[in-house]
Amino acid sequence: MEEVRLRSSDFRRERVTQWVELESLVDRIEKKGLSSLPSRSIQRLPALYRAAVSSLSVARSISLDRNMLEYLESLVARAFVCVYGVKPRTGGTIREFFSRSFPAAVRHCGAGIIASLGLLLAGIVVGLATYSPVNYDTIMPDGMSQGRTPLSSTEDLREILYSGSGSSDSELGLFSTFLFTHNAQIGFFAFAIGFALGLPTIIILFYNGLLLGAMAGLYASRGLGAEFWAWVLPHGVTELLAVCLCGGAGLQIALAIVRPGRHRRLDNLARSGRQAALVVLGAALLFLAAGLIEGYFRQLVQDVPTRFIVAGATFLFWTAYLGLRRPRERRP
Amino acid sequence: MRVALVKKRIHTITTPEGLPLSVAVAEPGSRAIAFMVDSFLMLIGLILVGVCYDLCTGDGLSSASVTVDIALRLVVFVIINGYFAFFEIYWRGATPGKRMLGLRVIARHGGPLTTRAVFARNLMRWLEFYLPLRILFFPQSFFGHSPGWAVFLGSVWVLIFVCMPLLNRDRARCGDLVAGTMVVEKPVTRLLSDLAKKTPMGSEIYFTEKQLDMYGIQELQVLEDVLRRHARKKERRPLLRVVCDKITNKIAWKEAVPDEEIVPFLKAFYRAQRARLEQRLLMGERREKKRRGTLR
Repeated sequence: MEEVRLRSSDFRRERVTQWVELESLVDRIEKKGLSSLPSRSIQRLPALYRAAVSSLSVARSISLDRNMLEYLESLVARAFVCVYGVKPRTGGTIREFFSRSFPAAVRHCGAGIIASLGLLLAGIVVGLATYSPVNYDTIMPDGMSQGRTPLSSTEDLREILYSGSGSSDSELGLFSTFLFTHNAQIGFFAFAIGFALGLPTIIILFYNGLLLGAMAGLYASRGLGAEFWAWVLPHGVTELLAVCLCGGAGLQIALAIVRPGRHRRLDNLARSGRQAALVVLGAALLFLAAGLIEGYFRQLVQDVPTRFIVAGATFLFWTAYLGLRRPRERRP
Repeated sequence: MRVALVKKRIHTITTPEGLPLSVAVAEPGSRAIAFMVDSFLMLIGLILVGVCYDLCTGDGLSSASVTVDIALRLVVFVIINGYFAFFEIYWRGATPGKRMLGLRVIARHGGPLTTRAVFARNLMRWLEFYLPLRILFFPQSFFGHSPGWAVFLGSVWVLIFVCMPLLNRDRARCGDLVAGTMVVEKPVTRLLSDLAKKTPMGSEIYFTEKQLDMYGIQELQVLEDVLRRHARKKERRPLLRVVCDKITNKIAWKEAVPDEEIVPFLKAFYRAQRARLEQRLLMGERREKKRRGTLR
């Protein structure tokens, strides 16, 4: 009887050097990162990875050596993470984010964002329409009013609208920073809680509108309505838009769970969730802009018409950037 | 070599090359430990920022100290919101804690892990971690003056989100669901020597096809496991003896196998058996299990 030849052993002998080379690359990437590799090795990585993939699929059909099969499985899985992990490309990504991905993500979440805007406006209208000193005291939490109550004198209320003109630059910066970090985290929260089927997000949006409306009602009752809006809107346009973006992103993931459409529910959630995350990321930048306007501009510019002009300008800018732009659609 | 009997949850992804790849889903326990390690590191970072703050802003009013104040506030914001995202992007899906425990974040269906997926899964921590933390320590700030039953129901609702990884097959937390990601164990199996390569010393042992048709793939791989783990150890002789006797009995091997011949005999049998089964595999016949009874 002649010597039995094992095809799987021959196969292994022919390919094993490639596997070991890939393994040493993967070991090194896992320990020190992709950038630690010399460029020649990086060029070899995809080829070695594909060779290992093909080895694994062949091995599955011809070999019964379990250690080798498990080894190849684990090698391919580890190399997979190295080859298909996140590729950070900072420069190009930022330009692409502003020119394409962010507006596209906003349009993807359009339904939720428009619903958020509607809820916020509804809250403002209801708050304004139902204003009375009793209602105001009921809905306004103590921390929020900061001395602005129906009992305050008209002079005090007016003073708040024009305070801060004597502050130094660095104090204004601190105020801006505080506003930005605080508001951005509220925005993140409004998004995350959208996962709870959107209900808390709806409440947050409507309630914040209600508070703003009630405050406007208080000022309007003293004949300071226009001046109040001139005080709120320059940063408010940007800030409220950012709130609506976050809330809308949250509502979009809720919608993806409730109404999956023609996709599977989980797949649809993942699709919407990734877009929504981009919207929230962009909204964080809007919060930063709003914080700067609120911290610096509002304190430095006390003139009512100028405040309105700036508010109008920000409104036009955001509408044009997010609403009217139609970049080429690219199907993934 | 990992014992085959340890039950792992296996998830199959398809690589862009079209190859189905099995990955082991990370255990909730190791994920919790990884999270604790990361939280600890974050906490150290925040404490350092606090120390800096105390050192640099002694008088609190000068313009320089306010600038430091601004910078440190931004640093805190970045640590709280960016720690996980930063490492998952720049360390290929692993934070320091995950790396320590050998865990990795991957896209659920295979394919590249995108930056936006990383942001999506980490933004959800506001719901899964910061909100429960706030409810636990400052319930007033979240529920206000709500009645007791509302506080209770709200807490239970939030608890469901916290326990999400225990409620589904892939151990996905809310962030994983929203981002379409999952956390897997980084598998490490080293390549051992080819058992079939070594020819036994001395005379070659031959088996007939009938003898080799008694066993299937399962038994072959158990034999591989036994040989890899015990063949070198003198004290495991009795175990090898039992295995050897079972085989000789089943395939009706007439000659007795002396003690010192057991390992060469088993290796020769493994090699012949694997050759036979692989040959049949090529013909499209995959025999999983042994035949009943013994060869007569």
